[in-house]
Amino acid sequence: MMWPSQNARRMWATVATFAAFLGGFLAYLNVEPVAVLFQGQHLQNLFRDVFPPRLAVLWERSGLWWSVVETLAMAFAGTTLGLAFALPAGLAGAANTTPHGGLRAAVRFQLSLERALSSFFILMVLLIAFGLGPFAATVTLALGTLGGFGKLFAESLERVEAAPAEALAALGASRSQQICFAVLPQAAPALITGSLYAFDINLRAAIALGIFGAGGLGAELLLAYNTLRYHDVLALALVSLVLVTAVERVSDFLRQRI
Amino acid sequence: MVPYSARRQLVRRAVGFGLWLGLFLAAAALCDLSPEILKQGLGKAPQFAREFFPPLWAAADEMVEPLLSTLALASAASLLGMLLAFPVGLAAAANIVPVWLRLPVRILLGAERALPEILQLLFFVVAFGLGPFSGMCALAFSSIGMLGKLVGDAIEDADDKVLESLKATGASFWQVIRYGLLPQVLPSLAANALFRFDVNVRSSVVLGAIGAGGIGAEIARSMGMLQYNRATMAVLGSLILIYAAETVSGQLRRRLLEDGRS
Amino acid sequence: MLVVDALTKTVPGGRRVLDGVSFSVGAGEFVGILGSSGAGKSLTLRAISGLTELDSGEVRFACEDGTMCCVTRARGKALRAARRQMGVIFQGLHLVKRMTVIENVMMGRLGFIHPLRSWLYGFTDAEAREALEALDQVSMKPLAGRITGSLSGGEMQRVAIARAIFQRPRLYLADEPIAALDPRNAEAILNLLQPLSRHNPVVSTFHQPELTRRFCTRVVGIREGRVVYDGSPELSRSELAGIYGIREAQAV
Repeated sequence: MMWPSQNARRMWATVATFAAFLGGFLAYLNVEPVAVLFQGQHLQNLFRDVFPPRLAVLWERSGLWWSVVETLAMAFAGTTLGLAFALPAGLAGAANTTPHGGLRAAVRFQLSLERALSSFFILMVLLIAFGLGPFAATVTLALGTLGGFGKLFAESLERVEAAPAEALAALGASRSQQICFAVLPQAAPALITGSLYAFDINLRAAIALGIFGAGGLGAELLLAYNTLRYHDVLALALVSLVLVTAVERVSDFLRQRI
Repeated sequence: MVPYSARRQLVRRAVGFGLWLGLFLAAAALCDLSPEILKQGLGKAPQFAREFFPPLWAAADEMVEPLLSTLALASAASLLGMLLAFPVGLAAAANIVPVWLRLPVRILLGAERALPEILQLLFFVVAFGLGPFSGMCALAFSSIGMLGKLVGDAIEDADDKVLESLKATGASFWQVIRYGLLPQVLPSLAANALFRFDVNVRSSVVLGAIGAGGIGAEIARSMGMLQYNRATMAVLGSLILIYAAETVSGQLRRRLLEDGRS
Repeated sequence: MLVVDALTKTVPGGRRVLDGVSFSVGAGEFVGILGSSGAGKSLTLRAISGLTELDSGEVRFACEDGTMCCVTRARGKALRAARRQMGVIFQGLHLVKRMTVIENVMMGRLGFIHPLRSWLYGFTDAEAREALEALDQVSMKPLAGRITGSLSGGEMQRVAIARAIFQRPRLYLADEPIAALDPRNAEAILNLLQPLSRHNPVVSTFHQPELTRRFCTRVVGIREGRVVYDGSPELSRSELAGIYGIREAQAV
């Protein structure tokens, strides 16, 4: 084997360019990385302020478990509400199930709009409209789910084999019956996997949106953070970690069963 | 005898639907999903439209600097994430490192991906204070969380024969990695890093509102000062940035894939 | 019973894939449509069940009330009413693989069921019992509860026939029912189709002429979108050459 020296030179040139860009960006952000990282006092501060997690907060604050339930409820309601709209949107947006080509284009455009608007801006507007609380977050999650999974559903419906639906058409089944008995049963595994995935994502997002003022576990985190109870923040972060991981495991398990 | 029962079919569907509806209604009650709030909120819609539109065009030039700052933040985080993802990925690959190293690395990477970026940002703010550096750290870490895992998986899937033949020529450990592994893993790492850049630009807007500065902070500040049409302008700017990042990242990724095929 | 009248279809490239195909089918017939691949056999079958748009020509079919209705021009409800009288036996991949065998059979009668009822709970117990009888006719009763995707090609073909039997149509259409099967399975399938034709005619496409001689009552030969032979299943050497072209006829 030859050692391609030209390749090596190209690689080092690439690395150097990367480093230059990185340095440029950091300089632009007024960061002196060497100073920051090698002073070490920042990280020392972090460890002193945050460790160890004060797990006592788990039983001292009676509202905490309620906030966990609230976060789960936000994620669940947001997911189901979003999916309840995503399924018809997917049916209207898939070439093989849409009632009309024009409707398909309109739905696809609408869904891409929902994906483009960052959920954060939607939340901001909704928070002002509906007041602080989980309502705004739930609607935000539902809109995000609709945009992302409506498209995904449309794509999985289009990937289905066309032959069975055609066979049903040939024996006199209506369009809706073809969808109900040939298209949906074939797409079911993809749709269920997608739904579980949506819940995974929305649980994470529900915690994040809570930090923006939507209530639940995120609100507890923000409260602890704002009152400088950093040891509590770490404990609550661990709670979110366990929650997210547990839900992920459950949905992995369910996914493998189908 | 007959492997079908209409009643069972009906009961199964009814129970499934009922269970789902019940859970949804319970969750909706917890989330204050009530028609009154909806009506009250929707009643404000016309007033909203007036306050948010048209965007405050005059503020357009004030948006350039925060947008650049957000872009720099996302780019730096993506580059840093990509550079560090390779060593981290090595430490997460079963065919390179022993189990006692791989397992903790994998667990850490998993935990890293499970935590929302905003939550991570809170900790970096405790350490480094408010500002883009904390935001960059949060995004760099979550980039490593995703890219490190992907690199680890790619290394584990890599062609062992190439490594074996290199070892047989007497190449050192680092030479094997440099000439045997890196070329196999690099194209997919670059493609994933470009995808991650797209994600990072979106996230950096959001993180900005909590304390990473940039356009996100601009949006949050305008909202806080009730200058809604200025917020619309900032959102418009961030949408342009996000769209541009998506386009560039998508184009580069496509070109990368085409190179890989030819 | 069924009249196919001057079907014509041109594909975007300008090629005529159907060029005035005409024949008719009466009671008690088992008509085999012969031809090499691409000759227009399957397309003719699809045209009969109204799955293909034609340039011109008509398919007329004796409907429920005994009058002849035109499938080609029917739309919506009228088309569905005509289609539910035709049992189409496609190749096995037209079944829904993720559902059970008996569910696939019961789908045969979807055209007769009100959509609302079919969405709510599907089928009735009485229909399930009847479907089981249909499966018994093709000796698939023991596999009724299986997931269709786990069956072999020959078994799936039997399920497709059971579905058509369960549908109780006035005409059976079969598209290459033995194409993917080994000789023993192919013969078994034809042994199932032949008795059906005593009550309601069967129109089936075949690639090769060996078995049509034994099972069909009549053969229609199609070549390049035109009917080149219509008559007894005992084909002479020159008649075969007319359908397949000389070189291919020597091969078969």
